[in-house]
Amino acid sequence: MNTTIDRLRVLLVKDYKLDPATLLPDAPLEALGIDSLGVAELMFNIEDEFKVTIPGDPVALTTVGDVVRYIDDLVATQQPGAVAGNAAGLRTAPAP
Amino acid sequence: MTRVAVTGIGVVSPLGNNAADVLANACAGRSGIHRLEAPFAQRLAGALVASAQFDGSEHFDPPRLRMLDRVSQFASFAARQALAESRIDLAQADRRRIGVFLGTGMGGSQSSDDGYRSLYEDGSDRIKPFTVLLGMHNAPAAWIGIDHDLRGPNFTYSTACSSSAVAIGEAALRIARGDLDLAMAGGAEAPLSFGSLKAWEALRTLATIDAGNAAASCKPFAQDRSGMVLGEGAAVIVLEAWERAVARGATILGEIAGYGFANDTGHITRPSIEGQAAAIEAALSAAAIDPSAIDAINAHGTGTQANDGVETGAIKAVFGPRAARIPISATKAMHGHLLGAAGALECVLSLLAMQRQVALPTMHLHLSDPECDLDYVPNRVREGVAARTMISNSFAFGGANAVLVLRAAP
Repeated sequence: MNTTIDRLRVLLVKDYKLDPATLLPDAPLEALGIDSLGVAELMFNIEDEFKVTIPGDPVALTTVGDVVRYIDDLVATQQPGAVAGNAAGLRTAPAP
Repeated sequence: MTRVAVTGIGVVSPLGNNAADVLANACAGRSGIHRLEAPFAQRLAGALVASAQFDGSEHFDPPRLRMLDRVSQFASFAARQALAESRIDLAQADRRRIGVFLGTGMGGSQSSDDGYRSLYEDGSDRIKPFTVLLGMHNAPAAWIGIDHDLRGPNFTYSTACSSSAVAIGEAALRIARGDLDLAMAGGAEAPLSFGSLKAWEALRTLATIDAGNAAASCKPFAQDRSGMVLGEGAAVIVLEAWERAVARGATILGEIAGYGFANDTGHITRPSIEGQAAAIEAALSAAAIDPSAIDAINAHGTGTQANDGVETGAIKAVFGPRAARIPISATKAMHGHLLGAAGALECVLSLLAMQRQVALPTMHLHLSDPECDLDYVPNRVREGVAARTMISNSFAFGGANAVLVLRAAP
């Protein structure tokens, strides 16, 4: 099963034509060309891909890793039976 | 008042995506009108459109493209072309004195249509986050401003089918007054979505398909005219003060010599001779010229029963017996009705025709209508027409009648 970050990478590569190699957990979204408006759109696509509902409350997401953790939290809360995809993957990622 | 020079032209249209192609196709009498090939075409009574062969992914990066309705893609691309042709060095320009004046009748209607489909047809409770930004009427003008960092007035005009004639006229006034050094002016329209086509169909203004040749379905001024065909595209021109253009050695492509507007208050759709004639007279008055100075006309010429007879009457009312000797071109027979972009495209075609010394043909005019008895340049381009001054008519629902007076380059 693909990890959360793998699935997120697929979304970002499709929409932004980004190089998957640049999509590391510590990569800032702004540097990838994903501004606050882009994040709003990304949330919409995440709802589709991960079958979650993004709450209305604002949330600060700065890096790819922030988004991954946010998705995993939503999945854990909203789909209690699902396996959290990639916490391990994030922990083993190189430190910034 | 300063004279207003045109120093750049950009176009996306059913007749091509650059000025040279558009002029060549118009001179050849080619039609960009065709049967619509779309899954929803079978649900339309007369599935005819004039589409632009334009793929936004060839011109915009994915992150930008996703923020652009087709109407903004057209506008941005046309503006890019126009600026490139003008050879203006924006690095040396005072960007606060450069404005954008764009007309559109329906804005990002494709995106609005997509949003409604997901809500009403797909039953989704969610709508794409960019829907507002894609659909808003001022998006095309805004993106031109963003693309080139133009910080002067950024205005969108929506007066239905005269939107872009109004935009060009209003821009020209600001240049003439000295308010601005430069203006990008024109219009854009992308109305070929199912919802929009269906709405126009319901109004019973669209042409029925010519059984023998779909491309010949729009027949302005002909007795067998049955209506208009919706088209898509954009035309944007660069306007600047005459002396500035000359001083920087720009190639001057023509002049906006006058602009007149007259509101027709009689009916929301039905045109009147008085209203159209008033707009022509206002334009001539603004240009400070006599009707005798007009050498040729680009007609509004939609191919509807209502417009073409009334427009003929308006031309006669202004020009008197001389009306019969003025070549009148109704180019919508070829490029369809671009609604809010029509005036700008026809302004461009008029400037190009004067440059090439031709009168463009009114195609598919084989059955003459006793009510339409002027010289419409039927079916074949007329060479050797040394027109120096033209008017381009744009008449709109709501009564918004606008006319531009155009002069050939020196």
